[in-house]
Amino acid sequence: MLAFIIRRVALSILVVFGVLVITFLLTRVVPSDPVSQYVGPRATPEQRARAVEELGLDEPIYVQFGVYLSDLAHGDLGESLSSHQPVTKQMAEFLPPTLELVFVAIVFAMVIGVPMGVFSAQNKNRWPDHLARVISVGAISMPTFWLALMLQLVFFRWLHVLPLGGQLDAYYTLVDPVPRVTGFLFIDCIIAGNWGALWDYCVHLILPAISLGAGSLALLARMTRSSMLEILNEDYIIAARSYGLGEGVVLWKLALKNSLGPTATVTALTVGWLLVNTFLVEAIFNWPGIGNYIATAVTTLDYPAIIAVTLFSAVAYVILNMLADIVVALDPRVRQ
Amino acid sequence: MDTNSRVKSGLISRRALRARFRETGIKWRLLLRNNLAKVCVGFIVLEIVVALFAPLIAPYPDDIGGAVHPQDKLEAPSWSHPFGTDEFGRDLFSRVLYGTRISLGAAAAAVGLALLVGVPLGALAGGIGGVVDDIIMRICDVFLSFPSVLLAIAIAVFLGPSLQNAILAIVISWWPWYTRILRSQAISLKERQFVRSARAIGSKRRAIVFRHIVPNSLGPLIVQASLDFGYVILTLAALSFLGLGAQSPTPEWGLLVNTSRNYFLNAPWYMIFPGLAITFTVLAFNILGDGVREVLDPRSRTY
Repeated sequence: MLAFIIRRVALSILVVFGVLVITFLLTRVVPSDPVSQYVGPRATPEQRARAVEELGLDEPIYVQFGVYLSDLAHGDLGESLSSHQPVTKQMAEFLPPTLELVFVAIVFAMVIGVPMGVFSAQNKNRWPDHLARVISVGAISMPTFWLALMLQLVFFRWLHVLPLGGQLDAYYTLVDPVPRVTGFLFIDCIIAGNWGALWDYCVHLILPAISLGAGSLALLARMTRSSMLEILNEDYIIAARSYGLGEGVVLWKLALKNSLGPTATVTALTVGWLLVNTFLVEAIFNWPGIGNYIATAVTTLDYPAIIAVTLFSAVAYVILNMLADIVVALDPRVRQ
Repeated sequence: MDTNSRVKSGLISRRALRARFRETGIKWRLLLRNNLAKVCVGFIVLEIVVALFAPLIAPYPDDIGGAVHPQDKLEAPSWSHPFGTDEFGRDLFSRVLYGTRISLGAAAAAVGLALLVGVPLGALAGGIGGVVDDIIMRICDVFLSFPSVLLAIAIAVFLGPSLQNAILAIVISWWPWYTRILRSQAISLKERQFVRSARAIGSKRRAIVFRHIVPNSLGPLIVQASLDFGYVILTLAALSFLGLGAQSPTPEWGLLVNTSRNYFLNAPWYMIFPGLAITFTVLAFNILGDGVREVLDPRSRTY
C-alpha cells in the first residue's frame, strides 16, 4: 500500500514537472517574438534591448528554465500585462468566488446525479430510466456556455424569477455592503450577520451552479447507474432481498454504499473539468472569479495571467487525481 | 521468402481481410438494429451532405461572408429567414448551414492530425518497448494530466487566435489518447500467433510493427476517433466562444453564440439556433458512440 502511494506521488511530481516544462515552452518557444509580446509592437530598440535583458532571453535556454523555476518557487508568477499587479495576488483575490461556485456545483451534481442514477437503475429500461438517460446524454452534449445563456434567457428574460448575473444585488453592493474578510462571500455574509445578503447570494448562485454542474451531474448519474446495475446482481443483494429487507434499505443502504467507489473517482475528475468550465460560465454570469479573470486575459492576451491560471488548474487537477487514486486504492477489494 | 510462400501469404492476408470485412459488416448491422443509432447515423450523413454542399444549399450564399443588410437586422424567424437574422441582417439559416462545414471539417482535421501524431508514437512505444516506451508514455501522462480543454486554451492563446491554431491546439492536447490506445493494442498483439510467426520467419521489427501491428490496431482506433468527434466539436466551439478559434465573419457555431451574447435577450433566435446545431451534432455522435460501444463490448451493456 505504502509502495503504491509512494509510486503514485512520484508520478504526480514527475507530471507536475512536465506541466512546468510545457508552460515554460509555451511562453518562450511558441511565440515567434516574446520581446514584442512583452513591450508591445511599437517599442524603441532600447526598450527592446532592455526587455531582452529583463526577460533573460540572452541566457541559454536551460538557465532561463532555472530562473523560471526559482521564480515559481518564490511564488513569483510575474505581473499581469494589463493591470501591472502581481499575478499571484490577483489569483488569491479571484480564487474564493470560483471555489465557492465549484463547490456548490459539485454538491448540486451529486445531490441530483447520484439519486438519479439509483432511480434509473431501479427502474431499468422503464420510462424513468429512459428519461434520466436522455437528460444525461443531453447534458453531456450541450455546450456549457450555451446552457448558461439558455438559463439566463428562460429564468431572467422570460420568467423574471432569477437575476442575470453577478454575486449580489446592487442594494447589497452599494447600500448595505458585506465587508470582505475571507473573500468567501458565504462566510463573509455570516460573519457580518447580513442574512439578506446571504439569501441574495444564494439566489445569484443558482444559475451559474446549474450551468456549471450539469455536465458532472450527467456523468455521475451514468456512473452510478452502471455500477448500481452491476452490484444489484451480486449474491449479497439477493440474500438481503430474500431476508425480506425492504427495497429502500437494499438500494440506498446496501447497494449504493458499495457503488460509490467509481463515483468518487468521477467526482475528482470532474472537479478539474469544472475548474476549466468556469472559464466559460463565469464570464457569462459576470462572476468575479478565476474563470472571468482568464476570459478577460484571453481577449487581452495577458500571458502571465494565463500561465498562472493554467499552472494552478493543472496542478489542482493532478493533485485531485492522485488523491482519488489513493482513496480508491484504500478499498481492500481494489488492493488485491 | 520464395515466390510461392509470398503468394500464399498474400492469399492468407486476403482471406483474413475478407473475414474482417465480414465481421465489420455484422457489427454494422447489429448497430443499425438499434433505432436510436440508426437515427444518429442518418443525421450525421445528412450533416456531411450539408457540409459538402453548404454554399449550394444556403438560401443566401452571400450572407456566409461579410455581407451587410442593415434594413433586415435582428429579424425574428420567418418564412424567408427560418432562423432569423443577425445584427448585420445576415440570414442565420445560411450561416448555421455553412457552420456545419466548418465544425465537421475542423473536427475531422483535428482528429486526423492527432491520429497522424499519435499512431506512430504508439507503435514505437508498444513495438519497441523498454526505455523508448517509458519516455513516450511518461510524456503522454503529462499531457493527459491537463484537462485537455485547458491545455488547448493555453496553446491557442500563445499561437494566436485563428481556426487553424485552434485545430493545432486540439491536436497537441489530444494525440496522447491515440498513442495510449495504439500502445496497448500493440502490446497485446505482440504475443499473438501471427506476430510470433512473423518474428519466427525472421521479419524485421519495423516490418512487423507497420505490416502487422498497426493495421490490426486500426479498427478500435478508428472507432475511438470517430467517437471523439463530439467532444472535439465541443472543444472547438468552446475555443471559438472564448475568441480563440474562428474569427468573424466566419460563421463558426461557437463564435455565432459568442457574438449573440450582446443581443440574445431580445433576439433569442440568434443564440438558440447555433447552439442547437452544436447540441444535436454532438448528441448524434455521443448516442452513436454508446451504440458502437455496446456492439463492440457487450459486457458494457449493463442490462
